[in-house]
Amino acid sequence: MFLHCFKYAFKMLLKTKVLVFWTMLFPIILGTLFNAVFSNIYESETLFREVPVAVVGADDNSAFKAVLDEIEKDGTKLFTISYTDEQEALDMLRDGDIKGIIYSDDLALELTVNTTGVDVSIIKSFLDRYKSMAGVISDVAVSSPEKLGDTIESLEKQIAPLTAAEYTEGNTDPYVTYFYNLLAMTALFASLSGMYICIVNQANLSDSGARLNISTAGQRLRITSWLIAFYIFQYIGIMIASAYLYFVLKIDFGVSFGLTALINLLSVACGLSLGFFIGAIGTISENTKRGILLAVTLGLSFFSGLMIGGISMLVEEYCPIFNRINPARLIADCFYSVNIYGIGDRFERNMITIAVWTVLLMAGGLILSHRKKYKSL
Amino acid sequence: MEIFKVFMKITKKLMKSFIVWIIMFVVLTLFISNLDSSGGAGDYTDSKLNIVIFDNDCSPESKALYDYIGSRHKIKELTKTDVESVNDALFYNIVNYVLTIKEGYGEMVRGGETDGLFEYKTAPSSYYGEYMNMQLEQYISSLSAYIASGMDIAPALEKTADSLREPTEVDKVSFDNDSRLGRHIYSIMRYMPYIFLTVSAAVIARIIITLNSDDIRKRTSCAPVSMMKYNLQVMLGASVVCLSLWLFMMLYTVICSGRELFTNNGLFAVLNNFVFLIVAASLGLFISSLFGKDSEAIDMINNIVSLGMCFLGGVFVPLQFLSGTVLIISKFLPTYWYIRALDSIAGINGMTYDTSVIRISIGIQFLFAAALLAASMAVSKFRRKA
Repeated sequence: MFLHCFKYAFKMLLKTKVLVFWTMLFPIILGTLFNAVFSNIYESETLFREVPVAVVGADDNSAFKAVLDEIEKDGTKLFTISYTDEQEALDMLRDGDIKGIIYSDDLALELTVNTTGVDVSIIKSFLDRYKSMAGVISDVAVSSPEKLGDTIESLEKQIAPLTAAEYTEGNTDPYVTYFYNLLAMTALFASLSGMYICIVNQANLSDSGARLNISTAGQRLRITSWLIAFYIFQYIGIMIASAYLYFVLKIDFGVSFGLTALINLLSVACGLSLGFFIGAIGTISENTKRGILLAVTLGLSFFSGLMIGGISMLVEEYCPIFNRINPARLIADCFYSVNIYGIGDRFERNMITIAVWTVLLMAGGLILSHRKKYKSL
Repeated sequence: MEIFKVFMKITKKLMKSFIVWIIMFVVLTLFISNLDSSGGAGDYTDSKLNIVIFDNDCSPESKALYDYIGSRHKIKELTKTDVESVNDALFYNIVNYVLTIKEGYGEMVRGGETDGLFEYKTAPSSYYGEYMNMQLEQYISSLSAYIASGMDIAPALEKTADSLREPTEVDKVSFDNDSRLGRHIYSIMRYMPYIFLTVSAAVIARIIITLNSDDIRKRTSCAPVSMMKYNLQVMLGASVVCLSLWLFMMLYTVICSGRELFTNNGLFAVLNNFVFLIVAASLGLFISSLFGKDSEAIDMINNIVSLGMCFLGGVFVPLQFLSGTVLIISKFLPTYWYIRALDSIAGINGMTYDTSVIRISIGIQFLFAAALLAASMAVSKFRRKA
């Protein structure tokens, strides 16, 4: 009987297009959109590239030109330099080919830009440094001319005041969290299946529920077989979506595919049990339950960072306890913690919390749906 | 106008379940728009990084450095300073740069040492690292030069700070016609397409599904109402529903931005916004004509279409960040033209204020709306005959 119920539950799933869509197609479509949009941003906005600048009047300021030549010869180039006249430089600035124009015909050095940004600020910082060195030399030439040689030697010396501290070997692109949250949302969308199990098995909410409740298959056995069938179906769906993200879009999760499969095992169970619990609550209509479920799922996903990447940090500042219990956040944090820190306490804590949620919600759903009797339908 | 009355009756009946959904989407989208700092322009200002400083030396020298950094950037105090919390803040760009001033810093600089003074943490190979490292090297270089000239530490610190207080003159030029849209209006208007596409399309689609239900459809077919009148009355009903949503959004915009909306540019933005509403409503009619009675299919299609259009059309991510291939696809979406017009009105994101660009973009949106309306009428007619 168990296998009979399991078989027909699985067959029914394959024909329920709405579940196929939310489980498999939606994450694939959304993942494709995310990749199309976010793949370029980190590289273009954060990762350092030589800043293109134009220099006007370089021939009139040989000292500054010498400094620019030194930079060009140096291994870590800051700028891509174009020596040109003012009109051409302004045209290049307007077209976005350069980020700034350095006027070096005047000893004061001036900069013209048309935007702001860290790359533009780097140009200005470079000019500030040049100016401050000239300022130091003039100060010392006036106050202690006998020490001028030492001062210049000190300024010319290569210094290394900074040592890079260990951060992480994982993927530091913050936009990868959108993909973590995508998988978290997909897992939580398994709640639609969980709710569906309850609705279809409740005699007062559906015709099939009425028929199933008078069948010879016990409710407990029937619900258990359905839960397992739905769980397997949802798991296959999320693994197809995960495989697409990993191997077709080649998203660098910073987590091995095997570990992703493990996280998905637990996250889908959590999602399914969430829907099962909400579906088992009272005699509220199906539409209202679906509305509540969608609101809860999307709300949890929102506060995990699905729509705005850094929202979870805002929550961490003002209400950290919510991050510790939000299932969407816990799932996404499993991926994040392995990416940045490797498998450790944080990952284990998240997995245990997800497991506890799963057990509590499933137990709650089973208790609420157990032994329902109807005086009339 | 019986069809119109029925449309409004169904709207009233379904409005209770819509209200929660509408409010949720509107609140979420408006929350997002409030966090967005796009739009607006002004004079040049240096980029200010969010920096966390751990001073392990606590000497007058480290305090002077702290003050120097504080004058140029924002020093953040994290509530939690363990390694994990700091790394999380760095990853999510709450903090751009973490500086640790090593113990013994004061003594080392007094002795003229310049190596191994700090430890830093930032996104690898990033602009933030290059920028901040350059400024710190500049500071140490100037300070050690003053020390090498025989100056005592206190005057050397003062001179260093003074010499760095005379920054380079920067002239920020603008190549556009100096037309701007208020930052707040821009942010709100930018995310409105998502509300219009999701809510108005879904609401209209659900009402039409009810209109197309067997009983109502059969009764309507018996009535002496031509197909043309039927379609026109349905469109009128859809217009009333969408207009109500739009007025609600405009009221919110007025509350947030005040008189800024009633400038030439503000009114241009309102017109652009209204035209897009028509596009969204037409899309809703088209989707409902395609899928008839299947509300689940409409949910699926609506989600894909609204998210897809908003991601690819520049609503969630500015157009300048999209790759060439994506931009080619975007041009076939009405959201692209909406954002293009809005960016041109505001004169940001690489666009300059250009009335011809704005008119063309709005015109193309009208064409999208007309095409979708025509398509929905054609599909409805075909289905009825079938």
